[in-house]
Amino acid sequence: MSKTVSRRTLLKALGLGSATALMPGLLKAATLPHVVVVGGGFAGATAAKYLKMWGGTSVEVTLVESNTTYVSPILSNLVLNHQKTTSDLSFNYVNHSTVYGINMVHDSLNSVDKANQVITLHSGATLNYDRLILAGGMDFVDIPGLDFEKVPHAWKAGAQTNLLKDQIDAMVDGDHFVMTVPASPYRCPPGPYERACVVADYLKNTKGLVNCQVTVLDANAAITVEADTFGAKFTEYGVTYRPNIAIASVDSDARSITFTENGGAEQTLGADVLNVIPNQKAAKIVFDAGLNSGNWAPVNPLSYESTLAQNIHIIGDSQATGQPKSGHMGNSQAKICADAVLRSLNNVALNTAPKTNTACYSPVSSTHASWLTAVYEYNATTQAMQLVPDAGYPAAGAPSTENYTQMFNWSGNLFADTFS
Amino acid sequence: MRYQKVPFLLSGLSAAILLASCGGGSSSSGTTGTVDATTSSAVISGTVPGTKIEAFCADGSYYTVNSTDNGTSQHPFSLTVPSGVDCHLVMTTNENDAANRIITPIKIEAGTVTSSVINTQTAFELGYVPLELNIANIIDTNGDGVVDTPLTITPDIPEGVAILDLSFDAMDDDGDGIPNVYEDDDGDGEYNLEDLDDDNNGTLDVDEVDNLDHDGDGIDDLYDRDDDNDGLTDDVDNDDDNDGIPDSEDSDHEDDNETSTSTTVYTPVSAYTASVGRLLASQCAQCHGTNGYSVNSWDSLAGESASELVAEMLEIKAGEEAPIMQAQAHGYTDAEIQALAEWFATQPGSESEED
Repeated sequence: MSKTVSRRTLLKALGLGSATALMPGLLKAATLPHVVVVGGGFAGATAAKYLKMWGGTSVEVTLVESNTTYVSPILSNLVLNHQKTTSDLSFNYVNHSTVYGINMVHDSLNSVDKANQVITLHSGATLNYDRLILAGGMDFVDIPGLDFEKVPHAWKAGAQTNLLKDQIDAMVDGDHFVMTVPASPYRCPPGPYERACVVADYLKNTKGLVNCQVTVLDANAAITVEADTFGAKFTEYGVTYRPNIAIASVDSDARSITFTENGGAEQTLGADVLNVIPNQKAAKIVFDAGLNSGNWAPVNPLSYESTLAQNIHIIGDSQATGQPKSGHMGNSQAKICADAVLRSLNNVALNTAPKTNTACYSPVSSTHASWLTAVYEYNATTQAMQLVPDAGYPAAGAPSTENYTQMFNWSGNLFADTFS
Repeated sequence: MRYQKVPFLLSGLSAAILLASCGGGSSSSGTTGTVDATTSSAVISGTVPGTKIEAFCADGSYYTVNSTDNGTSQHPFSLTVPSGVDCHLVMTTNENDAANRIITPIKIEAGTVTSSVINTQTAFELGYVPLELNIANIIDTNGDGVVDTPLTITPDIPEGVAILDLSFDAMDDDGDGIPNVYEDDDGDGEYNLEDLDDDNNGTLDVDEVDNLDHDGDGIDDLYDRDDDNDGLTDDVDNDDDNDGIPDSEDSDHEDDNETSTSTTVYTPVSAYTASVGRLLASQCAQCHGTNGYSVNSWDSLAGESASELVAEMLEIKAGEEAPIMQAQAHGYTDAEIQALAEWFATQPGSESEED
């Protein structure tokens, strides 16, 4: 419904505005504090939910998210081997609106006026905030020649996931699947290795394409997590693993990638299906707002408040605490942040001993999964989050069918804790 | 995913809302009424002189009732609204007489806040509401029957009732206290609810291509529990968009807002209380569900006794029984385990297996 002239506009023009309009300074203190969350992924959706669950009617919460449907990257490698569909992994914000009373605004952030605490959306609408939480996930570092419509990253789930699935489905025996692993830190540390295993298992064991090749080009010096598990699976599946790769460019039409290996001369590798997951940095909204230092956003781990701007908090992939970037961790940080925001709005001191955790089940085939977990604590001396010492972190579990089943209990409760 | 419809409410909580509304500009006798609230709704009642009472609520639901003529000048009414959800109240006198109808949005003054947004989880008595009966006495610039300025009343505000001054109110875009449905966007003398073409562009509202808000209440159909504001939530309404075509034969009725029951229980919160145990316990929710209510076969932690939870955690920490849980348990001190266990113990028990 488009609006031309509203009654309010008319009354304002006539000087008959409400008392609020006439006495903003006087009433400001009594106005309900407004927290605006931008980004409805695991971090942002959780933050909005917990702000209302804990803050109730003492706080007004608006969640700005461009999409009405969210497709979880968690479990999305199982779309590639047909164990799940993207619709199985799709969530909406109806509960946020109707259960928690969160204002849902499907729009995207255009600019942040830090001095006046106002954001402008692409529609032109403005929202005042008392606290702003940016949960924009991550963004990719450009690679010359890379066109995601031809060479999918499939690292933000949805259409990209299905594009890669379709390309893999079209492979015939003898074809070559080449994928890249970004330099740390990147979203979901086990994810690329998990993907290589799932795809190799699918091609060779499910589709019977025993002459297909799978090559992993890793920007890192070695497998970054669960090296024993993934190393053993690479051997089992005949996956070619090449570390210390620096990508120079991609030819998206030819599906070839040019790179250096161990600092040597440039070489080019052709593929039948090419999956490039580029290096990563904080979301564009963080850069646009001037809240990054280098590629990521520095924050106080007690509150996730930016160290570069007051009353703006950054959670999930974009922040720079050094904790792993994952949906589970984004959810974990969101609660620390929601609690800290509510404390600060109510003049309560911050909790000085926050704990976060990460857990991840990784499928390595259509029947087996491994796991990885750790707990993080705040170190008051370094003012940083660190692995809880002397606890054997990160802890890992070997692939098993039992773990494959447990994987869905983990994801089920994580999905529900974020979206239900 | 199940949709849960009961926010911030203790299961089994029964709150009573008293909302007395009394019209008649010359009358000075206030009256009261009673209201019962169940887990999901509150019954608003009171007495008024021949008044239609409406509530527009933030979950998209709509409620209306006419007062009953009991032979006095004070007609009783009873209206059910959802508990814990922001609602706007509008009262119409002479509602059956189009020429003399007076539509009065209600604002409430509560301390330093004056707002038309009411969020109640408990008994709430409005007391006397001096609604106007004579149309000659109101200011109505465009002659649509809606008063230009909402009526502000000053009832006592009990604990559990919040009068909210919102930064963002989808039901009242301009924040003037007059809900969008009773605005007259095109200034043609018909408020939006009655106006079939709100922007006077010649295309009926129902035919606007960008009409994702069929009832024009400001709540997108996606989040609107009552897409056509007929008073029936979409899961019981067989014709969600009120186009005369039953949903079963209607390809675009947008029936995506089912109501369902939920075992998840939320503590009513009217003000923030910091809790170390709760924050620690929230870190269990990634795997064990919000507030310890698991949605699958993994253990629910809500409502278990603190001593049992502590004993279990310490046992897991020492043993080999649950490898990933053992790994997690190593990350928490005994004092932290005690604190989170005590918080889970305060949650109402869940129905999943005890162990």
